[in-house]
Amino acid sequence: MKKTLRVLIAAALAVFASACAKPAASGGYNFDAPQECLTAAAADERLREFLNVSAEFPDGDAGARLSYTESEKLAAERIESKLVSFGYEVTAQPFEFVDGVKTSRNIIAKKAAAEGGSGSVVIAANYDNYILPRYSAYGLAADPADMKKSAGAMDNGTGVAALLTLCDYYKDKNLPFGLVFLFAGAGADTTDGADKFVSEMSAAEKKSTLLAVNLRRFGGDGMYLYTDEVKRRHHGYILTAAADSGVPVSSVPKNIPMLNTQTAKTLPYSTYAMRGVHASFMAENIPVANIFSGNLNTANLSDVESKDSPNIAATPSDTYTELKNVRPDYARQMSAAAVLTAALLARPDFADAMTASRAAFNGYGIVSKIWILYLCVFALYLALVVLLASVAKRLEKKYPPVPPAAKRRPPVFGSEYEDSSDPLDPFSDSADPLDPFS
Amino acid sequence: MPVLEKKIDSRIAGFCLYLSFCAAELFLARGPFARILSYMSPPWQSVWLSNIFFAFLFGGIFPWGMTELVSRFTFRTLTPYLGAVCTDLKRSLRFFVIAANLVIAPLTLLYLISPLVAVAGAVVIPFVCYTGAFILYLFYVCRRYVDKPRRSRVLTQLGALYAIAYPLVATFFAGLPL
Repeated sequence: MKKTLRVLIAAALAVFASACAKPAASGGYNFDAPQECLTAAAADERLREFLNVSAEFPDGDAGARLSYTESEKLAAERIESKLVSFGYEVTAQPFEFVDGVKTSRNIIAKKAAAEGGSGSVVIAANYDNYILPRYSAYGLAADPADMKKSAGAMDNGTGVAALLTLCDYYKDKNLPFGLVFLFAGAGADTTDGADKFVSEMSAAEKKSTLLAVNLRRFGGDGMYLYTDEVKRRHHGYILTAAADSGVPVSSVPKNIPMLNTQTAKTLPYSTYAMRGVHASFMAENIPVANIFSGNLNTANLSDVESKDSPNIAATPSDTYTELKNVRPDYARQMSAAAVLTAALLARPDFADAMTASRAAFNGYGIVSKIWILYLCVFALYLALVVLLASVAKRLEKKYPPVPPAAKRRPPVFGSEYEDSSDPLDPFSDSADPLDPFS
Repeated sequence: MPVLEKKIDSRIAGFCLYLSFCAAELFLARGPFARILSYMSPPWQSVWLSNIFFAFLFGGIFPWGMTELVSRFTFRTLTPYLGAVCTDLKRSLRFFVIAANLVIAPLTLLYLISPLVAVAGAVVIPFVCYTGAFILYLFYVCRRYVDKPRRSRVLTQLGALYAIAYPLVATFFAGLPL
């Protein structure tokens, strides 16, 4: 008994400790990385280029880049020209909003595998932006004036800059597998762009995709790695790669709350870590890695960037100036994310590890078909109804009910007609002690 | 049980029912509160403003309110037929719902071990627990408070109301993941 108690207490403490684990601080890594284009300064330069920051426009002139807008289109063109300058062949993948009028597009650059190589890795970031409350989270329209103020510098300018940094890094390199750089449109608050990309992949492409990496929102208190809702082999592998390359990332805490929305189509709920381009790949059983920043250990249990100041992402404060002022770690984190990705892909057993992780994954089980559970509950519910009805019928047969004595009198005013001793008298005083609601 | 249910003041029993709903709904209520608290600035660290505190305090209000409302309506409709015994039926119901909630509450902690199991459990466990408790409740009150000729009617009326109320309250409003 004592032993069982000890084991239970130890297990509870372990769960509590893992739930309360703090994000790794951004220290200990030499951000003057050997590869010049992966340094913090280089990543910051990519961000400035993407936003077009200048003396005249200290927050850039790209606009708010809200999904399905002209501003988003302008940002796509800017990414496209940058990729062309790196020497990539670029494809624009247009898609429509459900209204069939508004359009957005994914920007895709591909790097072929070295001779004899196979498989591919998708590295992605959404390039659009979104604005949330106090404005629109609860169904109210966003204030147009506030929309103009936001430049989406942190969310997801930082992700785009990290991805552009990697594009620059890989422009002259060939790996034993192909690389796909996906700049997803309409991905800030939805997965429309990523869904479009995944839907256009052939079955063979889906099968040969080793990993999909998502880069998002850098500058928070610490960096996190999210791989799946269940324990996956590649999670530990990526953490090892991070430790080996000195990049401080931690796993998402276990007590992160469940949200009543659906992001990955195979799961009936989502979490903050699940939201992003990678969710569309999760739905296809492709191993994913979401590298993002924040502080998921506050007492609010909410999607907090830093415990010291309010969120700037998805608010009008998401500008380059504000990012530099309140999230000074953003450039180091962009660099760290790029370094981690590069270090991961450079590992000699990378392809084998990802293939093994995919092979070991058995899906989400019954949860991916939650309707079956609802159907089971419904069947039980019907069985209960039938059971109650049959028992009631049996009882009725066994003990025939005595109908209540019908004492109907015409409604006549006057207390002389009341019979306060009769609980069934509808005209008796409501203060009848037999009436529990009086 | 009969001694217990008659000894405890109905307001205290009602409050215990509310607390039991708070405990049972805590894990599911954290998500909506995390969203609300995301947009508060600065992101408070005070434990009095933390997610768990709010989720516990407010998560149980709706199911508790609905349970009280439905049971009040049910027993009002039964009063002309059963008379004063309805007070006992109503009082007993609270204890059975509290018992069901006390089974559900620790099971929601499965989320910390496996979110997927918790999600599947959120569909099945409340139904199984509440239905089990309800069947036990029917058995208990029929044996204890209702005379034989009235049992079929009590069973029909309470069963029908449960069958209508549960899908409405639990599936659509009480915080299931979909």
